[in-house]
Amino acid sequence: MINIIKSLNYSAVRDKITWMVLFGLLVLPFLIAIKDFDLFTLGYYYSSGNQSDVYFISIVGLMIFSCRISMGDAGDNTLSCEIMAGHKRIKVFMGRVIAGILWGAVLITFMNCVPVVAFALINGQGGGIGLSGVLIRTALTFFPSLRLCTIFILFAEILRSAGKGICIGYVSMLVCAMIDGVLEYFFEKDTGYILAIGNSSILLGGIDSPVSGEVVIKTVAVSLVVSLVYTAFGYLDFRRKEL
Amino acid sequence: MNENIVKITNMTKRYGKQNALDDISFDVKKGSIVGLIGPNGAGKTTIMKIMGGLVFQTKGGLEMFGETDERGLNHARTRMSFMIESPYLKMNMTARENLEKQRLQKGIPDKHRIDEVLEIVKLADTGKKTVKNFSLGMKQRLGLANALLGKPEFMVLDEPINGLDPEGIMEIRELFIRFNREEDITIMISSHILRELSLLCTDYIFINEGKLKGSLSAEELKRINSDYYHINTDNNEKAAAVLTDVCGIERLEINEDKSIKIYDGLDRIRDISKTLYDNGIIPVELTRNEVDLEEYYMKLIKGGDIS
Repeated sequence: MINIIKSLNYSAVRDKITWMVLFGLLVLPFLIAIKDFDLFTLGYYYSSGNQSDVYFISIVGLMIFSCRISMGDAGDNTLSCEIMAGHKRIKVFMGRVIAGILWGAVLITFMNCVPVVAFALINGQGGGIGLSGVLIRTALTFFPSLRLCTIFILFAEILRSAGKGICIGYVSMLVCAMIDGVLEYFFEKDTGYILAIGNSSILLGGIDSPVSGEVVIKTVAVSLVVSLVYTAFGYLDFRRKEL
Repeated sequence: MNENIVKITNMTKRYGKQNALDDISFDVKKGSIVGLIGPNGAGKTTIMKIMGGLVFQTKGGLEMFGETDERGLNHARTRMSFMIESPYLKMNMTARENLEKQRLQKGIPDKHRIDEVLEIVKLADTGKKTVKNFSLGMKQRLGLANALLGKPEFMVLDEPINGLDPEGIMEIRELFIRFNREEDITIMISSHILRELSLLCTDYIFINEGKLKGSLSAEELKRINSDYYHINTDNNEKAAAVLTDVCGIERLEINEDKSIKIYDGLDRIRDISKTLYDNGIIPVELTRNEVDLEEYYMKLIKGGDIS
């Protein structure tokens, strides 16, 4: 499995799109900050004013990375190559899921931490919440991101295409958000929490208001369980898939 | 030479109601170069994909390197290499980068192996040229380098010479012969270019519409398909009667253009020709020919009599 991850990482760093997305993710927070404040804004203002928006935009990077790294080569048969080399299907699948998560969730979480640290170090943190507090809240978005990653990988795997995985995954996200909106509007039910994006909103939305331990535990637990379920569904499809 | 590397027994593969493979059985002997021959849709690629673990058979047994269970078959695959449908290349990478990716994936510790295989397939000097700028022949050779990377004992290659120019075909043929003789690699190869296979293979397996039509060695093919005389006269109908009744020719065939092929009595062709002449028949064409793989294949697939 580790060999598969190494091999996928090797091709990912040689892919121009990887660098283009990374560059975009690096520059975008600063552009958004300039729009609202300026480059000399305090870390606290960036965190409370922009971080949530930046997270939602970084989901584009998450979609691209998770789908492209895990299933981007389904079309050119390099996926078949791993099975023909004698790797067990479970190892091929998990190797690809882990690589997708490393690039999709771990890297995106890290990229979201970069501007937080940059603004705090350059201009000072200021405000009511310290840098470590913001960083912990940002790091916790790894779990909702993990959940998003696994659903995108699931669609990309079933459809054997990164592009289709991104499209269908994105549509499913919109549909969920729409259902959430309808439920909230007509039945006054707060269903936002059950969505991965809802979890991230709670974590990053009001950065200066505290988040309870229960919310954190629920976010982590629900994200892990749902991610496992998506991964299990993905493997069930991949296990006997004819390539 | 007699050790079987692969043994396929009563294998059936069904897609819905359609049989892609229908009760196929054959063996592949160690050290052989096996030509898997059949028209498009015959089931050649399906057999190779089942061997590679990409597709699952509906029924029947697969044994590779003595292994039959899933774990064992996966282990057997580590001793094999495959090139099915396309050479599995990343177009935005160089030849060396493609091989490095595969080296990492296969867990081959020796980095120098990349230089060795690039040297073998004559791609060592491609430098920073990405694969998208390679000619078809270069891509095929890189695919072969990829297949050679893990020092396989058995290579399974689907149409590896498709689209190559004559020079490219010759180069690849020489490579296969070298792999087989010098590195003792057993090869299974499918191709439509039967003339090429006849220059290369030690064994043939013929399939059509998912069914095994025959399997034989190159030596057997030669023995079965003895030479024949192609005879054309001014009265072929009468000639055929004279050949069977007077000359005692038993293995005779009348072609669509009414010309005649005789498979026995070849050593007394002078007498035969004289007998025809004495019976008022003038031979206008009398040529000695050899049945080749192409002709054998056509007869087999069309259901003709081979003997």
